[in-house]
Amino acid sequence: MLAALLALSATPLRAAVGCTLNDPDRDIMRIFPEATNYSTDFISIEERGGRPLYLRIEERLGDELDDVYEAPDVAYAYYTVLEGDELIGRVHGVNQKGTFGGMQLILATDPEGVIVDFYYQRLSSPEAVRFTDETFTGQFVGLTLLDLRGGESPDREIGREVVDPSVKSAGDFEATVRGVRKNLILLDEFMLGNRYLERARATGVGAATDEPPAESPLRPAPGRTTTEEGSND
Amino acid sequence: MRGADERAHAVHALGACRLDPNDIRLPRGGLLCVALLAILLSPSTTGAEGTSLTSFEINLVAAHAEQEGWSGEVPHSQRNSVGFEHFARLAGPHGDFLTLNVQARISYDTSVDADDALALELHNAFGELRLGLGKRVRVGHFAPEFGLEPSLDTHATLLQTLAIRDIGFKKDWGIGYRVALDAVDVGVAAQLGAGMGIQRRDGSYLVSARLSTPERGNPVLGLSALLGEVLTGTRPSLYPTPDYGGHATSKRRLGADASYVWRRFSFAAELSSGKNDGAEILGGALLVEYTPGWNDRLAIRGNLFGWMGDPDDGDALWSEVALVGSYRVTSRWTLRLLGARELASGTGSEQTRLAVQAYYLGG
Repeated sequence: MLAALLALSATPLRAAVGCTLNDPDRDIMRIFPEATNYSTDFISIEERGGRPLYLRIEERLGDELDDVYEAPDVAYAYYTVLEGDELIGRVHGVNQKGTFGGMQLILATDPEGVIVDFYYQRLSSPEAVRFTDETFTGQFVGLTLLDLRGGESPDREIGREVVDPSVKSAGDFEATVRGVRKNLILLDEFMLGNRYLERARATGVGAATDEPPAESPLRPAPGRTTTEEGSND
Repeated sequence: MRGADERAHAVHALGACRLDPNDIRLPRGGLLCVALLAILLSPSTTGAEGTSLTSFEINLVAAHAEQEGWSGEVPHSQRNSVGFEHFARLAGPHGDFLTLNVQARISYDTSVDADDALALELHNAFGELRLGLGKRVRVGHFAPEFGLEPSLDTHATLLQTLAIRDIGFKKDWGIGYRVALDAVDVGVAAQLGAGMGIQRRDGSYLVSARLSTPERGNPVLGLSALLGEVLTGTRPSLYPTPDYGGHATSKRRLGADASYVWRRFSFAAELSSGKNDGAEILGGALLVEYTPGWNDRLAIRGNLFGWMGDPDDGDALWSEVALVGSYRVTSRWTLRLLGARELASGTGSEQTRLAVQAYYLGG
């Protein structure tokens, strides 16, 4: 799934990177029509902070990271979008396990980390049409990490505009929210100098610190990831 | 003829660079320098901005076929090897301008004497210059613009596309250009027609072109054309120099391909039709991958191949079905099991093949 043989990629880079854009030129031209070029960075948790950073990300996320597909040595691709030599945005993706298989979640953000576009590069859900519809994905536009429930923002609710579009795929909705949050947390850690972590601390929301947590944080509701309502395979 | 070949190899060994356009080779030392140059042109050594990744690779293969017995390779696929992959992007104040990719292996052929078993292989070995968003020029060793091979990653997989059986190799030396137009992507390439060995003999060449819908779409559809005088060696290698045997084969092809992702399934298919030295050739492949929802480390992949017109099969139909179970043991190790059965062959005795592969890719 997450390292599929049949994964299409216009870039020659292989398995060591978690999620790259299948067609970065076209994606960036579509999202940022004024873009003239972009630069690419591959960043891993291991190189940026090792085990302490890994644990801090888990605490911010409010969930444990998968030890294979979210391992510390997995490199994440960041596409810094330029107009001339001016930074106008970033595009970055993550892999996320859903109820019916993996999904690849791509975010485009402005220089401040505000979401300007969100789409699924891959989604294995029987209700994929509902999730990929712009009525749903467009609800994330304008949001930041602090607008999404979980981890360092346990009491914050997703904005009223963001509603689960599915009929019986709540697990994929929760996985999407987790993946988007993970994507933004990694962006904050790797590219934004932890400005959202600092803002969370300044407002007293959550308990994210630089110290390793004494115990594992709460996970999202596990009961909603089963197939008690049946899968459509 | 053999004496002439021996003299040619002696000249080659002295490092001479012949300029005869009908027999172009590079010194062996120079070939290794090509690979090292790509590594040296990394951001850390040039001072340019950018990023680079180097991954080391271990490929352990054990296979058994009814007629061939035990071996350390799956034909037209994987053999025991160690190697590395180096990927680098160089960037300036206006963004990325150059991408470098080198995939190199030292492989071991268990079917020959130990003195001849080792070989140096170069797979991807190219530089790609960006000419603006959606436009790039590629120089080096890369996949011809034909069929599924340019868009699928088959470097370490047991199941392959039609490329080796169809063209004779997966990658070739030359120059290529890709452009993203409004509704389609266009790729063209002009290459030496000799695969991994940097040689041009008997007027060899290969030109190819592929028109496809954008890679970000689903499905992705492609149409390809290929024309060339192609050399095919007994074993793909950069060193020792491949033994190309007889004359170049005249190849003409038209191809169509498609790929589609649906829930936990990925599908890809390709058809190729044309002529080898005037004889009709027709082939097709269907690839399917399924990932169970209950375990995202496991993937099940299947191939169905059909080929007609190969003289090695008496021009008869050759067909094979194969199944691979792939399990991601850790973030760096993957274990694969292959079972393949020929459904038809020109020899009249179809065989079953089993193989196991342990593959490592990491820092």
